[in-house]
Order: sequence, then structure tokens, then C-alpha cells
Amino acid sequence: MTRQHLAQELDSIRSQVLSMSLLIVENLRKARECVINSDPSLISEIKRTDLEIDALQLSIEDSVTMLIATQQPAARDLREMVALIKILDNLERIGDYAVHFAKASKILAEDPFPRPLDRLIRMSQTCETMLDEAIKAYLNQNESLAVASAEKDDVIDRDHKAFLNEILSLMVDNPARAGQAFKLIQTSTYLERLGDHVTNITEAIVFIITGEHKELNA
Amino acid sequence: MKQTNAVDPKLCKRIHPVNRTIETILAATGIITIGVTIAIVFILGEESIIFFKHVSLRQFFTTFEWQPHIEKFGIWPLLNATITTSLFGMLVALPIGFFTAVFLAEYASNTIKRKIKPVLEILAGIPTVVFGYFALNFITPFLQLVFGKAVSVYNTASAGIAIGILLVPLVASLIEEALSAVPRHLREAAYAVGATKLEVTLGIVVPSALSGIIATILLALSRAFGETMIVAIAAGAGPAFTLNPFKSAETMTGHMARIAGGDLPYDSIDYQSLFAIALFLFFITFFLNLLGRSISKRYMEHYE
Amino acid sequence: MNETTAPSVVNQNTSLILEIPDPVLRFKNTSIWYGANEAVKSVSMGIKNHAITAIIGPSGCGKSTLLRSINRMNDLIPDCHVTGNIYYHDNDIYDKNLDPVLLRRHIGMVFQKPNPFAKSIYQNIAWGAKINGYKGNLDQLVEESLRQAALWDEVKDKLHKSAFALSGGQQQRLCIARAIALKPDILLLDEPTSALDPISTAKIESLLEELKKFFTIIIVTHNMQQAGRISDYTAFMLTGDLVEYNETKKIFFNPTDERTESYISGRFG
Repeated sequence: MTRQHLAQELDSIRSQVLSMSLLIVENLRKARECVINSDPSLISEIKRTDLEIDALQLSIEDSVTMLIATQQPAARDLREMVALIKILDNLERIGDYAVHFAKASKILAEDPFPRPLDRLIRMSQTCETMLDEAIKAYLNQNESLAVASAEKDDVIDRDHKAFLNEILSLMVDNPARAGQAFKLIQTSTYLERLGDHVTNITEAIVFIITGEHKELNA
Repeated sequence: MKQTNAVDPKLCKRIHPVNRTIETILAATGIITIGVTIAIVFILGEESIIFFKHVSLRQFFTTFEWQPHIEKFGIWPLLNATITTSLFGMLVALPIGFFTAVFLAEYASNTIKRKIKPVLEILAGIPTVVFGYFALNFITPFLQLVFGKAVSVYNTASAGIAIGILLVPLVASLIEEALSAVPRHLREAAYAVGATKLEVTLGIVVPSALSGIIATILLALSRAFGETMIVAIAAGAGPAFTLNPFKSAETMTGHMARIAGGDLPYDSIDYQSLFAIALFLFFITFFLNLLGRSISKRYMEHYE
Repeated sequence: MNETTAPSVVNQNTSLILEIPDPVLRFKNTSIWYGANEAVKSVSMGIKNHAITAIIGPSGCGKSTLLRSINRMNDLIPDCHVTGNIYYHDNDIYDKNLDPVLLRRHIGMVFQKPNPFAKSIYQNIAWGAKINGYKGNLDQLVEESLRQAALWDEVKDKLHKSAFALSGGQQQRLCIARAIALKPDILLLDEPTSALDPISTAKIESLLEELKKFFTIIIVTHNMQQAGRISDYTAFMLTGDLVEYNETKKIFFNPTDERTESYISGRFG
């Protein structure tokens, strides 16, 4: 087996991507805790971690660029490196949405919401599972796992729609809560978007494996 | 960096007694070769100077009679015979040698090559005295058969032809070497532009090997000039200035061999004249070798 | 990960070998033997007209042997023989009535090492034309060929100087000029830049892209990136088998066969 250097570099890049996604998952969990407990105390910690995530994105991106410049990758290696740039971009956005999700706890802390937020919580859990599966699919180059991950986006979409309906009916009953309701709608939209970004990642993974561009969130 | 003059023992120069000894021996053998050459030139020169004190260079080079007993020392009869035999030698050796070489290098299959090369080596191994008698007992009668009574028993043509046969292996193997040294990729280039085998051989391979071929010709010529035994046996005894190759005439080498074989008193003019001839011959062959070298050097540098 | 010792599969797997409609050159079960050793194993493929086809593969895979069978250069190797067929238009190249000397006037070749003749720059080009009975204006032919090979401006003032005075890259372009002076149909190049520096290599590569307007070009290269840069079609060979043959972008971006994948990404070879 030749090209030790390329193989080692790729391995190291993959493990960095894994660490980056683990930080994001961690942030998502903390954000959910904030929302469940209506307690924004973890937000500063989450923001700090997000800065770390952003820095990691740039450093991995540089490694990939350097590898393209010096190793002239072809075929699957090349596809992986090009896809990685996309994956990193999406991961970074996902990290941002996790922060936005956490911020919902501020509104809830000011004024506790009268109804349970089960759907919102479940959406965030689904997002976490999707991301987890997507990263596993990447590390194991497993196409079906990537597809399975993307399919969960439908669950998020359904929860998002249902949650919107709940909020809307609440707003009709209680127009005074319109401001808070609007913020929660935004939060739900962030989570819905987050799911889309994971879907983008799974598409990039399928591209690495098959060389084909497939729409997975159809 | 340390500011000391001492070299780390790991990097310090070592003493190699064996290497030194071998280097010295190699140098010594080289010096011996050069020394012998210088000694020869010196001896030839020394006696020649004495000779030329008695005989002017002018007489030596411009008169046409060589009769030592009557003190006539014109080199031309001897030189002319040498040129004639050499010319005949080249006329025989060059075409046969060249075509043999072309055949061996370009056309012959490996099996045929393996059969012809030993034959050439055997030919090269035959003592020249055998060629001398071959000229006398075979070539001369054959010439007499063709050209009739005009052909003397001893004649320069017959000796020259024998020299030619003698030189065929030399010429063939040297030219074959020169042709084989032409890189294969040049032949391929020629074939690739749609050349036939003959066009490749004559249009590309031979011109590319020209330096080697010219060097071979010059080397063969200097061998022909220096050849002694054949001419001593078959060309005739007694200097004679004649342009007729069927007549007997003595070459420079033939003359030297015959006279040196007799009992000549040292420091006689006859004796010294031999050295003058030898020195002259030495210069001719030396010049031819030099020319051959410079030609091959000039063209050879094109192939790495 | 990738076993180079994988059992050789039958190479006539249609999904791996691209079908070329109306090819200018066609291999049909072509096997090439050195004595009893099968250096090229039953290759079948077509070559597209006016395109650059690259043959790649590790050393000893048979790519040069295959290339040299096209203009019957292998005839010069005593115990080399070809089974199966190679068709140039409709002529079987190995038909016993076909004259290889005439064939080579239609299928030119440029070699790995620049090999100009020991002649002047002018004569290097004129010689081939002359032996082929060219009746036109030689000066014009020399200039035209040198221009086409992007060498004219560099040598126009020293046409009668020895070709050996040129740099390696210039010599190689001279060899290209010499080949195209005969106006061949197909130009074969056997690792033409492997002895050259990167700048000379780049010049020859851009030259080849120009030349494909006029000639069908087949290039053997052990420089994969070069194949990727300049060729339209790429054939990958391994231990005498044609493993995969497709459009270059497909081969370099998403090859089908595992072995092609690992060779293209530099995992062996």
C-alpha cells in the first residue's frame, strides 16, 4: 500500500470531523437541557464551544485544501475532499442552529410557556440522531445509513408542521403571547433547517461513496 | 558550530594502506607504458639523427632510389611499395569488412551471428606468416592465371590482397561494434517514419556510426602500413620504384626486416638508415592513430 | 486494502469497456506474446477518431507493448507475436499481405526518449518525407511541420544545425514534427514526456491538445495526472488485462473497477 502520507492525513481529517460533530452533538444536548429546564445558564458555555467548532471547521478545511494541493487526489479521494468542504460548511451551520436553539430558553425563563414543548424537544432529539447517523455513515462509508439518516428529516418536518399548528392555535386563544409564540416558531424553524443541513451532509456522503448526486430529502 | 580545529573522529580521514599500494601499482604500470614508448622514440630518434647528419632530409624525401651500398637514400621506392600494398589491402578489407559488419549488425539473426563471429576470430588468429605464404602460393598464381605473364612471382598486389584478407576481421568487428553502438531508439525512429530496413541501415545507422567507421579505416590503414611478414615474403626483395602492382617491390617494413636480418655492422650508415625508416613509419602510424582518435571523439559525444 | 494479486477477471465485461462507435482503430481479442509469455491478454477496444486516448497502468502492464503493436514496431522484436486482430479502418494490421513500412506512414510514433537522427534539424524532418517519395516543396513541409509542433520560432535560425544541439524538450517536439510531417492518420506516443522537465512536459501537453484536431492520438503514460489532463478516453491496463476503458472524466472521477480506483488514487503502481 503506497501513499501512506495521504492515508494518514485523511484518517486524521476524519477523526477531526468526528470531534467536530461530537462537540455539536454535545451543544445540541446542552441546548435541549436549557430549553427543557427553561434555564439559559449554559448558553455562554455553548457559545464558547461553538467558537471552538468554528475554529475546527477552518483548520480542517485548510488541511483538506493542503492535501488537494500537495497530493493530487483522484477518484474517491478527490470526491471525499471536495465533499468534506461541503460537510464542514453544513456542520458549522448546524452548530449555529444549536446555539439559536439554546437561546429559546431565555424567553422561556422570562415567562414560562403554558403548554408542554414536547414536539420541539423531540425535533431536537431527531436532529441529534440524524447527525449521529450521518457521521457514522461518513466514517464507515455506509450509504444505506446515510439514506436512513436523511429519511428522518421527514419526521422533523412533520413535527415542525404540527408544532406550528399548536402555536398558532395558542396564539388565537391567547393573543398576548404572540411575541413569545413567534420566537418559538423561529426556534422550530431553526431545527427544521438543521435537519436540512444534515440531509445535505448525507447527500455529500452518498456522493463520496457512489460519485453520484442524489436528492435525499425529496 | 564548535569553534575547534579538531575533526570529529567519526569523520576524520583514514589511512588505507591497501588502497594506496594498489593505486601506486596502477600508476606504475601506466608509467611503464609511457616510458617504453618514449624509449622507443628516443632510440629511433638518436640513430636517425646520426643518419640525417650524413643524409639530408631533402635527399631522403625527394629522390627515387634506395641503394644503401652506393649511398643512395631516397625513401620513395620503399614508401611507394608500402602505399601500394596498403592500398590493395584497403581495397580488399574495407568493402568486405564493411559489408560483413553491416550484415552482422543489421541483418544476421543471432544464430547466424554466433556462427560467423568465431570464423572471423579464427581468421584474426592466423599468424601473418601463413598469409605471406598464402599470397605467394595461392594469390600470385591466381593473379597469374587471370592477368598472365605480366604478374611477377613476387608482387605488391598479391601481398596487398593478403593484407586485406588479414584486415577483414579487424575492420568487420570494429565497424560492427560501431554500428551496434548506434542506439536502438534511433533505428526505431527511422522505422517509425516508414523507412525500409535498407533505408534505416544506410540512411540512419551508417551515418550515425560514421565516426567509428572512419576511425576503423584509419586504424586499418596504420595496420596495413606496419604489416611486415606478408610483404617480406610475398612483395619481393629489393627496393624498386614502380607503379605497376604486378612487379616486385620492397616496402619499408619489408626492407627493414630483410636488412636487419643480415649481419650489418653497428654504426654503419646502412644500420642507421633502418632507424630513419622506422621513425618515419612511426610518425605515419602515429599521425593516423591521432587522426582516428580525434575524429571519433568529435562525433562520439553526441550519444551518451 | 486493495489486493494487486486479485484474480484477473475476464476483461470483456461490457460495463467496464466503453463501446466506441465507428472507431478508427479496433482491437479484437488482441493478445501479444513474448515467446510463451502473454504480455497483453485478449484486449478488445475501439479508438475514437480525432481524440486523445490514454493507456495507463503500472510498469509491465503491457501498455507499451499494446501501443507498439499498432504500427507493428513489435515486429523488430524477434520472438514477439500477436494473436487476435487489430483493425485500422477495415484493414487487419497483421494481415500477411499488409506492408508494415507503408502502415507506419499512416501511423506515426513518438518515443519515450527524444531520438532525433544524427542529422540537421531540417534533415530530421525532410528525411522521412524523402524516403516516402515526397514530391512537394520540402522547405515548406519542414516549416509547416515545425510550426505545427510549436517549434518553428525556436529553431528557424538554426535549421541546418545538428538536432542534438536542442534541449530535450525541443528534441521531443522535433520528433513530433518529424512524425506529423508524414501527415499520418494516427499518432502514437510512448511516454513522450517521461524524460522531460515539467515545463517541457506542459508544452508538449498543450501541443497534443492542438494536434488532436488533425490526428487521432494514442498516448501511453505512467503519469496518471497527465492522462487526466489531456486525454478524452482512458484505458487502464493491469498485468496484460484491459481492466477498464471509458471517458477520462469517468475513469478519474468515479471508476467502476476497484483496481482502477486504487491505481488512479495512487494506492499502487
